[in-house]
Amino acid sequence: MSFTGPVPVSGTVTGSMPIPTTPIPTTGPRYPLASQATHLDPGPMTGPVPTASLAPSLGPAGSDTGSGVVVPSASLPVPAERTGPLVVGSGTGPRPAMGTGPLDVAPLARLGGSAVGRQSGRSAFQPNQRRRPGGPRRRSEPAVVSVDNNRCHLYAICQQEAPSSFLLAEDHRLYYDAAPPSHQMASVRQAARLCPMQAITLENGGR
Amino acid sequence: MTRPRPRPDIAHALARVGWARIEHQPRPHSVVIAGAGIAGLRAAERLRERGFDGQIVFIGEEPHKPYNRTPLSKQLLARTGRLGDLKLPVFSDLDAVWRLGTRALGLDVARNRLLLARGEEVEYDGLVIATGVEARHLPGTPVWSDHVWTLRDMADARGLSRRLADGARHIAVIGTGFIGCEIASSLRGRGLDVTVIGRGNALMSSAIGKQVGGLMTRLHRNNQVTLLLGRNPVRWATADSLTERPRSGAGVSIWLDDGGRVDADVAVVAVGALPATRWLQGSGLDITDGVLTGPTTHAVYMDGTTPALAPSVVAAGDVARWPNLLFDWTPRRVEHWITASEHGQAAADALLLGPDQASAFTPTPRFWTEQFGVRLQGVGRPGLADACCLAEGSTKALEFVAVYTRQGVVVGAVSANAGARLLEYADLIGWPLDAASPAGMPVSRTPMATV
Repeated sequence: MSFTGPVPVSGTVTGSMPIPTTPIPTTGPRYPLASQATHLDPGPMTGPVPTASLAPSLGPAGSDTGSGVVVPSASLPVPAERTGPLVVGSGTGPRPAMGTGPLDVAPLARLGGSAVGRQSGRSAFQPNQRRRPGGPRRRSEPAVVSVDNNRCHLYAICQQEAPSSFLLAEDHRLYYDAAPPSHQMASVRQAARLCPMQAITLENGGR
Repeated sequence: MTRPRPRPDIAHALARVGWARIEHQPRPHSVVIAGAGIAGLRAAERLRERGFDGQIVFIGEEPHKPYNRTPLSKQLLARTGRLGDLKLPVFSDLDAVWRLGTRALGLDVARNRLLLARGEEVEYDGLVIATGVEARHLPGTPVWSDHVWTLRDMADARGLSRRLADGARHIAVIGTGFIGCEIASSLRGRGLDVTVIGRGNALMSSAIGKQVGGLMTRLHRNNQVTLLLGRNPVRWATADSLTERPRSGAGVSIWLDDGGRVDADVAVVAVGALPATRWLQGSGLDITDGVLTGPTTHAVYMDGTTPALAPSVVAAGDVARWPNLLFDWTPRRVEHWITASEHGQAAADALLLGPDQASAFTPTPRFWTEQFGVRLQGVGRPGLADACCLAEGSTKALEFVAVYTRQGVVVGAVSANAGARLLEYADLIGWPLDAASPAGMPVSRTPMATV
């Protein structure tokens, strides 16, 4: 995590909505204060998971554990190894942001021809230097994030996409990192893409 | 001392080799994106982010580059937004060929070709099908009339707002989905009289259940929207019709199946959407209710009699029907804007990686709507649920989180004006509600009362 000292919060947004005066009653752990934003990610599962109650929904297909068992539909050409347990990663907090660099796995079943992987030392295609005038990416100018106060309606999609850069706090304000570190930029860009109100703008944030 | 000159025949041979090398350069790869909407745009963006160096060709039916459709029924119709709200951020240089105003007419999967008008064929190495959906109509609706509109694209929005500026006072909205309700809210905010006609007994009940739908119904009723629920239009008359005109000075008259009649200046039909797959008929792809794809977004086509995955064809966005393994193996379409963006990105990755290496696309569907100042927000598929309980907050103040379960397993959650509180419930999807939830959060199991 990049937050070590005081949180580099440099912007605050209050939605233009009428702010509800009665806060929602708390039933569970609330989000920590902004000064403890390092603990933002909801932790992994705590305590033992009662596997018996999970089995009906999450057990491998084919085990006769009840009506919740999900089997691949017969009409779909499903590879055999995909018939295993369903995706259960949803229980462990926000998904890690997908990296968005050039793929270094063996890419291009169709597009790149040869399936040359990392092992053989050369990737099947190279990132295009021609598209970046001035050669490879320059990292000298840090991106500047800003959130439009009048547009933001506090849907918290940005917090889902980039939990270390955006925090919709209990006071119904959005706290955000106006100069996120470069390794967070992929998720900040995704937050800007998916913002329902399109309130997030990035300067120098493209590439 | 001079170097001996190469003999002329050798020089010619060298030149030939040089030309041959130039001529036999591998052709740059080309990805064709059918449909210039949000899914296609995000697919192209992801291709460039991954370093794809070839050509990207957009085939778009609308004369516009991709724009944000979501303000059409919200800010633009309510006249609180500007045209600039339709802009979408793009963070990489797409360097694409834009064939706008062009409709794809056919697809030849075996020869990797897309058929356009006038017999033109576009060859592709990878195809992204992202043609989206078209507005549905009820049979018998006078769609040609100047008093009857749908709201799907920018042309619809322009025409409708011109019609509304023409002194329209009373609007009839047919359909109680998200779009219909947003239209009602936006127009009511402009002070117009709005009547909503719908088949169901609660607004948006197919998407968010009859409990939360009932709360929204009450909200609309409290805001003086006339609701005629449980009714269907059976007969229409419009002022520009040659056969049947409304008796009063109204622009459009709608007779309902309970015998009632609604007179309005303009009618907006918002009864859902159908996937735009007519151009794929006969291509071998399965297009019953959208393009069927595998979990990796690769399209399913009939190879003889056995279904197979087409390695060079992916489908994304509203048009695709795919099994989201987060829930089950039943392929379904999702018509959410956020999911369409993520779907486009996943499709681009799947195209680059191929069906064997690409991972399954398992997004948590997310949607939002805002009506009469209430921000309704959902995750998962609440429409799949068989039970709904109030997790926290109060329905009276319209500030709550409701959790939806199917056979005891959480499939979705909907919140009203609760912002980030919904995030914790998004993580519960796939877990049984009665067990200790992953976040260590006790969830109230109060069944939600139907209003």
